[in-house]
Amino acid sequence: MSHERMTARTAAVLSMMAAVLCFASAEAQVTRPLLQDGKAALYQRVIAVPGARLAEDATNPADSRIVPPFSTYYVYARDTVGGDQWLQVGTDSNGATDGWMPADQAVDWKQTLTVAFRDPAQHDRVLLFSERDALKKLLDENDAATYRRLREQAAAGDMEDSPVIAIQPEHNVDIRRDFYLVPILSHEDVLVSGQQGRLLRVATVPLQDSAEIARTFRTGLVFVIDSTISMRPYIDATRAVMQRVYRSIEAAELSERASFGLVAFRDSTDAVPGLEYVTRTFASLDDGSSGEEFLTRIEAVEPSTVSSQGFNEDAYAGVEAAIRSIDWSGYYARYVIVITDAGPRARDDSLSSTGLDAASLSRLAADKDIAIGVFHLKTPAGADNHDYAESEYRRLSAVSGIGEFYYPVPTGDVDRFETALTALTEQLTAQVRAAASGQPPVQRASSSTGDTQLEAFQDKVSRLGYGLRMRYLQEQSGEGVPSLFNAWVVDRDFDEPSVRDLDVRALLTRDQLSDLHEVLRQVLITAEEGALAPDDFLDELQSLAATISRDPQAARTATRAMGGQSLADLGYMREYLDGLPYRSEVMNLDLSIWEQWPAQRQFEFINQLDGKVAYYRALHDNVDLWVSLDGGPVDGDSVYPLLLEALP
Amino acid sequence: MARQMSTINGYSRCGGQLSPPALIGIVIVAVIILAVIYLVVSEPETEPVPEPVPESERPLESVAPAESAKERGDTAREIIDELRSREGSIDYAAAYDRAQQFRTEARSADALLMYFFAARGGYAPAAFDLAALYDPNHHSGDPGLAEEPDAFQAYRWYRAARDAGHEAAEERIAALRTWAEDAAGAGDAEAERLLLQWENPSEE
Repeated sequence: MSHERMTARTAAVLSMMAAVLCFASAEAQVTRPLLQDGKAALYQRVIAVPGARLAEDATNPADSRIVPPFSTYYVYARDTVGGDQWLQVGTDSNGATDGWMPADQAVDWKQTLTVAFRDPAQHDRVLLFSERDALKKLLDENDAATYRRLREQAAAGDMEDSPVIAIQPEHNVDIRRDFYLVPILSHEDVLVSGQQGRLLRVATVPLQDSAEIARTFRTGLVFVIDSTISMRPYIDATRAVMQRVYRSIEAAELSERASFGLVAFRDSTDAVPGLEYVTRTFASLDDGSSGEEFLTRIEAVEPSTVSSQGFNEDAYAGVEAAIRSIDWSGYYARYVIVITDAGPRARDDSLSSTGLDAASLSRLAADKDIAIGVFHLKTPAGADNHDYAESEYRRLSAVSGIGEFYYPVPTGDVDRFETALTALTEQLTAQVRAAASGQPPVQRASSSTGDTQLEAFQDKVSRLGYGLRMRYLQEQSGEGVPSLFNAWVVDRDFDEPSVRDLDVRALLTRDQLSDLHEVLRQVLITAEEGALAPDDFLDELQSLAATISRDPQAARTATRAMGGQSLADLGYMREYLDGLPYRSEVMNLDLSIWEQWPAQRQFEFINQLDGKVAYYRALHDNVDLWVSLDGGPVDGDSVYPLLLEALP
Repeated sequence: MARQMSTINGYSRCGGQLSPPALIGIVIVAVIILAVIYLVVSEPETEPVPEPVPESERPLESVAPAESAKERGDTAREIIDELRSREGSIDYAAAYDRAQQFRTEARSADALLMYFFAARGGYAPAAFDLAALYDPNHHSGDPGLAEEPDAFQAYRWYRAARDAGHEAAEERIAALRTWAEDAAGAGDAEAERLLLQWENPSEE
């Protein structure tokens, strides 16, 4: 080897070492959450109880703010101040802390397990008991008749003098589409009519009776649409979107929970009589409670045949009509969506029929708890008007504490408008569905559409929807905040114990799933080679376990202590699987005589591994499936409720 | 007083001096006690209350050893070893031919190993045939050879076949998707998971 080549190689090695050292040093500087006892990679997690407060400093608890119930945190430090235990918490695991919380306002959540109810159309509804012993007694005595009677009573709303405090909502909510959180705090094995089942202690806020929600938590949305001459394609697109919205609402049996209205506006008929009207209500929220009625009524919306004066229209007249003339009573969540390509007539404009400005209208809306959103179609024809219109509509759509619900559509692109309106209506429909479920609200990160302005708009809609649901829960509880309580459920029904009524799901973070995928992928490669040349398989597995373990010592002692030869015995993924109410077939298969197995059986083992590896990869890469509990964008701390059976 | 003492003394000597009627009385009492004990003890036996077995305490699953070298696929493994030990690139076409031959001879374990070996090596016909073995739309259920359909495996190996240039694979993948959509619609959780593969842009 020449001196030059040696020098080059030495330099390369040194630079690699330097890079590794820099990386290691950067990694060392990141503060990580506290680890769970006896774990090398699992951090301490807690859930905030309703009314929990977060202070900047544990020594100054007066300066604190209330956090949403069920907010989940990592624990970074524990300290005692004035005799009280405090936790330093953060929403992610990368070192950013949010503040200090009294320990008695947080619940430990070690295994991040959550309940996912199954479709009640296909199963009996699950009962939530206030006392463990009451449910355990029924199980021990196999008292199906009493359980059945309690369910009938609960379904009829009769829970006085009953050990049942709540019943699963009547309508199905798919946790993968509309995320909700019913954390499992502990679990035990039980027999339900002779079938192995699980008795779960869950934390929950009061689940609302679905009939009560249908009556009180209804959503009303009124479109205020510009029907002047240039608006035909947007009116048609709105009609098309609304047809789809009603179909999806009716399919989900949510018709009673959401209603739509439509007010059209033009401009001063004094100035241009041919415009026929300044505002006209084509459908009130009452009309819109029937999809058929609403769609028939909006068929009549036609753009004017004459032009108005100037580029501004009397948009504020339309907004005022929607706020004042529509009967909003009976609608808890209230939205007005303005769709226009023109600027509004300002207060001092002689052609303004209202004499109102954006700020006054915004206040008027806020007084009635109505949120205003604006789709501003920035057509090339109105280029000179865009800046003025945008500043007005931003003011009009400002919601305190959240921001402006303003979405500009560049060049007035009809497809983009339709896509955005579809996304918004789908999001609102999802909120309706989540509210109808009676589950505690959880903020969901917006999906990645590639349209950052739409994502920002949807984030605000998400925050607004979350705020509304929280306020609703607080009002319903009558005590300012809903109380968190323990409830006990069993995952099977006495009458059909072979089928589960609910699933236990593990809330895995995206980083954890990535870890699981990588470990399992390496095991898979080793196992595939172990099928072709079985003699070295166990040695290879053991070496691999030592290589990938975060805690090699633990991997070595595990094998000695257990004396077994399964993947679990070898230490694979023990951190994730320990203590779960789940026995993994693939992890607990005795591999000690692998080389004597029939080839067919070896491939069954390999195929099980391979199916999971492929599923994890697909799950990881499907960003839309992940939920950020802090409402932020999808990242390594975002979670997915993985079915226990889908674990390795 | 003396009688009382005697009785006490009699008991203390294990009944050696008890009269026959007293003995009969004791036997009757003993029988009753035994009968009660029997009833108490036997009651749970008529209605046993099984205890749930905690997940962590359940025994390891194990697999019975193969009954023959044929079931283990020893011949295929020897061939694989030999093909790997040759100089130059591995002749996967030859491995595939042997797989076909083993299948004709109903040597399932050997055939499965040879298909897998050739498919893993990137040989398109082997990947396609291996996929078809698992394909729920084309499953033959040959004994010892992918006895149960496995849509994940079918998808995996059709993709490998397609990527290696097998023209018919794309059509099979499309048909598999239709199958998965139907099965997921009927509540099949595995099929639902498989569908994610198509939703993942990096996979297609």
